[in-house]
Amino acid sequence: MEELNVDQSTEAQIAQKTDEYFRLSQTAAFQRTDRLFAYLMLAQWLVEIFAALTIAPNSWAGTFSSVHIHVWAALFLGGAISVFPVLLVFYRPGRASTRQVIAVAQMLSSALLIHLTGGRIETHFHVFGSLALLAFYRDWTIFPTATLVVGLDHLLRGLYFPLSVYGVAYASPWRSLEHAVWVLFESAFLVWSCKKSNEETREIARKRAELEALNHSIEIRVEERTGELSKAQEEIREREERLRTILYTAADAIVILDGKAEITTVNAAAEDLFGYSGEELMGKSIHLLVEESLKESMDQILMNVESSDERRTSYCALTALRKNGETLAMEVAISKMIIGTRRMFTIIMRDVTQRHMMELQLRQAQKLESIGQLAAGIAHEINTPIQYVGDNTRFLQDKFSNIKRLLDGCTKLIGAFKHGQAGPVMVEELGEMAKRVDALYLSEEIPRAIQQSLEGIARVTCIVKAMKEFSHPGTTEKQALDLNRAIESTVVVSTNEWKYVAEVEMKFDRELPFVSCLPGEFNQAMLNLIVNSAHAIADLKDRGPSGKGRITITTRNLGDRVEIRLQDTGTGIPTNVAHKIFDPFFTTKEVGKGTGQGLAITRTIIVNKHGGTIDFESEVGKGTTFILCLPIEEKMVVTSSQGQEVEPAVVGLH
Amino acid sequence: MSKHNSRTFRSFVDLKLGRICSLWLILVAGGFHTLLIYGATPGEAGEPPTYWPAQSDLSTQPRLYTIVMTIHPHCGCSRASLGELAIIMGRFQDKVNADVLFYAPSNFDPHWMETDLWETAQSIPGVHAIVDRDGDTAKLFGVKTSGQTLLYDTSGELIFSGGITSSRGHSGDNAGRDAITTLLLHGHKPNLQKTFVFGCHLLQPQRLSEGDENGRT
Repeated sequence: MEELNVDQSTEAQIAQKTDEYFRLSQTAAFQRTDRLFAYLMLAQWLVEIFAALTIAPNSWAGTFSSVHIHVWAALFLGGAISVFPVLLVFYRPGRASTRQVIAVAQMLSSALLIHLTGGRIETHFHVFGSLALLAFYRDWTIFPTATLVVGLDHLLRGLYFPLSVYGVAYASPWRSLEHAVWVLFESAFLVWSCKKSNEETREIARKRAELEALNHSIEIRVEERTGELSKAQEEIREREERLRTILYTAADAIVILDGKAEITTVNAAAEDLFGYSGEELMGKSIHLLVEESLKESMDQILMNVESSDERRTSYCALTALRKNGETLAMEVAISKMIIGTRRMFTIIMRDVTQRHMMELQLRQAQKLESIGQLAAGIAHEINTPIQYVGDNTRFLQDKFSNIKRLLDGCTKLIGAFKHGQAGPVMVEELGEMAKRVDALYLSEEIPRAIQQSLEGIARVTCIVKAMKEFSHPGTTEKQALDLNRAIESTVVVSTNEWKYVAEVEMKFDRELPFVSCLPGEFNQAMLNLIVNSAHAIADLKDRGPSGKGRITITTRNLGDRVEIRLQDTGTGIPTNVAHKIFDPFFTTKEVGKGTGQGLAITRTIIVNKHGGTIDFESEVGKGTTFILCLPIEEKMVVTSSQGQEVEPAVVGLH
Repeated sequence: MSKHNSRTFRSFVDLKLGRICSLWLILVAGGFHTLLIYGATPGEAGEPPTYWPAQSDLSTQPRLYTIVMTIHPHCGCSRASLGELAIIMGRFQDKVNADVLFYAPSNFDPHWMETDLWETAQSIPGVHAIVDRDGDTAKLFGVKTSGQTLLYDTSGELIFSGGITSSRGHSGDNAGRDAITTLLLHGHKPNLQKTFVFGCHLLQPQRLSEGDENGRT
C-alpha cells in the first residue's frame, strides 16, 4: 500500500474521523450490551422467581403456611430491579445513565439472588460474573458504581445483622473484607482491560479513518484517472470516428491487409472503384484486385515493404482489376503498420487511368504545342533555303535565253566553220553577242546559283529528315536508340528556337551504346530542355561580345548508364524556386509564354518512363546544367517516401 | 404505545431521569430493607431445659456430645441450618451425636414431612433424622423455631442453645457454628452460649389455629 501523503488538514480529518468511528464503535458496544443486559435482567427476574418458588415458597407455622416473603421479593423487588433498566434500554439505549443504572441493577440482582438462595457460595459467583459481563461495555466508569453497590450491600448487611448473638454484636468483617477485596481485584483488572480495549478500539478506529482517507484519496485519483480515461477514450472514439470517416470518405481507395496479404478493411472508394462490396472482399487475397501478370510483383513489393523501415512508404504504379474484368491504371502507396504483434499493410490506390489519358492528351497537346512552336521555326528554316533555291532557279531560267542565244551563235559559227563559211565577221558578231549576254558574268554566277540551290535543297532535306526522326510517330515500345543521333535531330528541329540567341555545341561520345528508350518521349524531353535553355539565354541581357549564349550538349558512357549533360549560359535558376522547377504548371515566364509543363513532362519521361534520373546545377547569371542519366538496361524504380530508390521491382508501365 | 406517546414518554424520562432514578433506588432500597429486616428477625427463642430431659425418647451416647436440632420439614430457611450442621458433623462426627427432629403433624399424610430437608438430614453422617409427631419432643426440649440447635455435653448439661445461621436461610460463617465449634474443641464455657434462631415457627401458634387444615392462612 502506498504511503499516505498526509498533510495537516488530512491529519485533522483523520483525527476527527477517528473520534467519530471510536464513538460509533463505543455506542454500538453500549447499545449491544444494553440489549444483552435487558434480556439478562428479565431472565434473572425469572430465575429469582423460580428460586424463590423452589427454595422457600412458603413460610410455615406448624401446619399453617403463607407465601414466603422471598416470593414477593422475587416478584416485586426483582421486578423493580429488572424492569426499570429494561425500560431505559428501550428508551435510552447507549446512554451513560442507562449503563450506570444497569450496573447498579445487576449488582442488586446479585444481592437478591444471594439472599434468595440463602447465601450459597455458588451464587456469590454471580457478582464476579456480573462484573465480567459489565466489562462488555468497555466503560470503566461503571465499575466504581458496581463496586460501590457491592460494598454498600455488605455494609448494610453488617448494619442489619450485628446481633446474631444474644447481647453480642457479631460480625465477620474479615470475610466481608475478603469478598470486597476480590471484587476490587476483579474490578481493577476489568477497568484496566476496558482501558486497553478502548485503546485498541481507538487504534482500530484510527486505522479505519486512515484507510478511509487513503481509499478516498485513491477514489479521487481513480475518479480523476477514470475521468482522464473516459476523456481519453472519448478522444480515441472521436479520433477513431474521424479516422473511420476519413477512411470511408477518402476519395482514394484504401485497402488494409493483414500479414498474410488478405484484405481486412476496405473503404467505400475501394468498393466503388473495384466493384466489389466490402463483404465480398473481406478475407480475400490482394491478388484479387491485381492483374494476373502482376501478382508476383505485388508479392515482391509487399515483401520489400515488410522488410523495410516501418515509416517508409513505397510507391509504385500497377494495373488493377475490377470485378467486371476492366483494368485500371493505379498509383499505389504501400506502407507497413505494426499494431502490437500484428503486422498489417495499408494500400492507398488512386485510379489514374483518366489522369494518364489526360497526361497523354496533355503531352500530345504539348507535343503539338511544341510542334506548333516548331512549325513556324521549321517553316522559316525551310523557307529560307527554298527562297534562294527559287531565286537561283529563276536566275537560271532568266539567263538561260541569253545562254541559248550565245549557244545558238556558237552553234552557227561551228556550222559555218565546218562548211568553211566562218569568217571574222561571224566571229566578231559572236564576240559582240557574248559581251551583250555578259558571258563572263554568267560563267561565274550560274555555277554559284546551282551550288546554292543544291545547298538549299540539302538543308531542306536535312530539316525534313530531322522532323521525321523527331516525331517518330506510333512507337509505344522501347527501342534501342542512338541517343547522339536523336539529340542531333532534336537540335536541328529546334534550330529556330535557339539560333538567334545561342550557339549549340555537341560533344558526343561516339562510342555511346544504344539505350532502351521510347524515342518519341526522349526527343520530347530533349526538346523541352533545349527550348528552356534557349529561353533562359534569351532572357539574359548581356550575352557577351557575340550577342549569343552557348548551349553545350555532351554525352558520356558511365558503364551501366549513360549521362547527357545540357549546359547553357542563361540566367540560371534562383535558389528559391529550384525545388519547384519540376512541378507541373510551375513557370517563371509571363502568362501566355509557357504552360509550365516542359520540365514536369521531361522528368516524367526520364524518371518514370525510363528509370533514369534528372538533376541540375545552376548559378544565377552563369547558367544551368541539366544532367540526365539513363540506364542502359531497362528497370523500374520503387521509391520511398523520401524519394530514394529502395529496391527495384518490375511492374507494368503505361 | 404510539410513536407520539413514545416520544412524549421519552422526553419525560429525559427530563426527570434523576428523580426517577432516585425514586427507583428508594423503592429498591425499601424492598431490600424489608427483606433484610425479615431475614434478620429471629424466631422465638424457646426455653430448653438446662439438662437432658430424662423423659425424652432420645438417647445419648456415652462420652459424646449431643446435638438436638428441630426442623420444620417445609421451612426453606432451615436448609441453611442443616448445611451448617453438616459442616459441624463433618468436623466433629467422632465427638458428637446429632438428632434432627422433624415436625410431623399426626393428622397429615406421613409423607408430608418427607421433604428434601428430611433427605438431607438423613444423608449427613452422624445425624439421626427423627420424626417428631406433633412436635412433642420439640416441646419437651422447649424449642419453638425451626433450626434451633441444642448442644448437650457428655454429662447432659446444655451448653449451647440457638441458631447456627447468621440470618434466615443464610449459610456461611455464623456465631452459632463458631460457638459450637469452640465448645467441642475446648470444652464448655461457664455460661450458656446463645444465638438467635432464624427459621419458621416449628409449631402452630395459637392465633393461627383458625386456618384450614392445609395450614393456609
